[in-house]
Amino acid sequence: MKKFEKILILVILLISVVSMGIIKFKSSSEKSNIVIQVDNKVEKKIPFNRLENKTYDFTFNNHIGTIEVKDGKVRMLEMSKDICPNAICSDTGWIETTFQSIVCLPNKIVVKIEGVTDNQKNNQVDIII
Amino acid sequence: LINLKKQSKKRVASILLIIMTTGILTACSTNKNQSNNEEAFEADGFAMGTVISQKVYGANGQAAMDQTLEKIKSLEKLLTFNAAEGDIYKLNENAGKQKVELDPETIKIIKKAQQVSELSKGAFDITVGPLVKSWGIGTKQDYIPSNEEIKKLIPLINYKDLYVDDRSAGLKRVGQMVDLGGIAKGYAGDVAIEIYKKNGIKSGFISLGGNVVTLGNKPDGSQWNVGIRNPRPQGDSGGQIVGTVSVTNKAVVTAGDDQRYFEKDGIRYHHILDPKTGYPAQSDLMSVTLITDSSFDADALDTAVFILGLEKGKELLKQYGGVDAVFITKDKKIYVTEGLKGNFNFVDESNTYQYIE
Repeated sequence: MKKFEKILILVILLISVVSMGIIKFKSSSEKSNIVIQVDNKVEKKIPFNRLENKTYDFTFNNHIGTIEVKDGKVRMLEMSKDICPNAICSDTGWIETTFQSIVCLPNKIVVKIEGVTDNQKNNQVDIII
Repeated sequence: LINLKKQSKKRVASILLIIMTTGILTACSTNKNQSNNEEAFEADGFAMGTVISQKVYGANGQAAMDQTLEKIKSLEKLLTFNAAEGDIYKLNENAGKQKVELDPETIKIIKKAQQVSELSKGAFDITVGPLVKSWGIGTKQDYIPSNEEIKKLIPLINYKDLYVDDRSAGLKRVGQMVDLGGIAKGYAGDVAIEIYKKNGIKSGFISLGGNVVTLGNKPDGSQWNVGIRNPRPQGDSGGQIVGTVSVTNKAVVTAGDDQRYFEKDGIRYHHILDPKTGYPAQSDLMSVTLITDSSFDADALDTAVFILGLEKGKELLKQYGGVDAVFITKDKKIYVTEGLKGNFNFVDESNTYQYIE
């Protein structure tokens, strides 16, 4: 019984230390996910800690769209003219902070970066107009 | 047996103590990061031909955002000239024939529009409909109407031919059309804030195509920082800004030639049409951002200011009162109104602008 108690106490302490560590870690990492939404629903979420420099496909209205990821930045690749006539989304270029987003109006796609607002850069912008 | 009970009580107590300590420790560290326990909600819906981004804090956050998007979609049906069941469609269909009874919200918007038209001597004019339809910027593909076509349409544009009373409105001549594209989103922004308040929300913002409306401060008590877009971004990085303004309970509304446009033979054709010329407005401004209490006011005014240009636009704002502004001119200079000095934070990553203090 006494042994069991000691183990229990150790386990609880371990959990507390580890969970504190996780919370600390979470707060220091500013960007958590790249999120692709189609008509207000999350289509794909890519965690920053598993991000590779490559392209990722996603689906919308029976079409396939592609984003490119490079060194923590993301951009939309151009789609065919009949799906996305004005190419405003791909013309947006690279985004890399939490307050930026890529919007494809005709297809209701939003690509954005989730996470804690970057304090060092751009004076902690909440939203761009 | 008694001894054993006591022992087990002690055990339970010690374990509880440890769990509580753990709880306190973790609670402390989370508080540091959130500073407020209010849950954050975010959504990016689509209505009124734009993306509607919302971020609100509070228990009713999700409901508030859902109600808001629903309301904006119903406003869109009421106010767009394409919706056959809507007020504006009815009004336009009956142009030159009869006045039509309209929803109180439509009346409210038309009245505000007429006020700003009067004040700006027709620089802002919601009877610009025939021109908007002809150009179709954002809907048609790179279409430029002929000179003859525009000459034919210009005489139809005149806010004085639009009459409105407390329940109905009418257009004097056949072919005249009202388009609320320059004011509807601003109205919707104010309505959204009212819905947030009804849901007990004290902190949040909504962004609808050039209109950002903020409620309160951020949960940590600091002001909202709204980045003002660089209308001529350099290189291939998106979402570039030229500066920020910090606001509480304010609307920040931009009219710019970079919001909706196409280029043909080196000429930029944007969506803000000058009712007098029939062509995209050619003032000395690339964008103007207004900061005031109501996005309804700001949306109507910013179109007028953009068309009038820096000097005349400033005068208009002075006349209206209570509006601050950031002007970005075509020669890449940035001017702000007196009330904004000290609050405008010039952060030009492109290094192409000059801030005139």
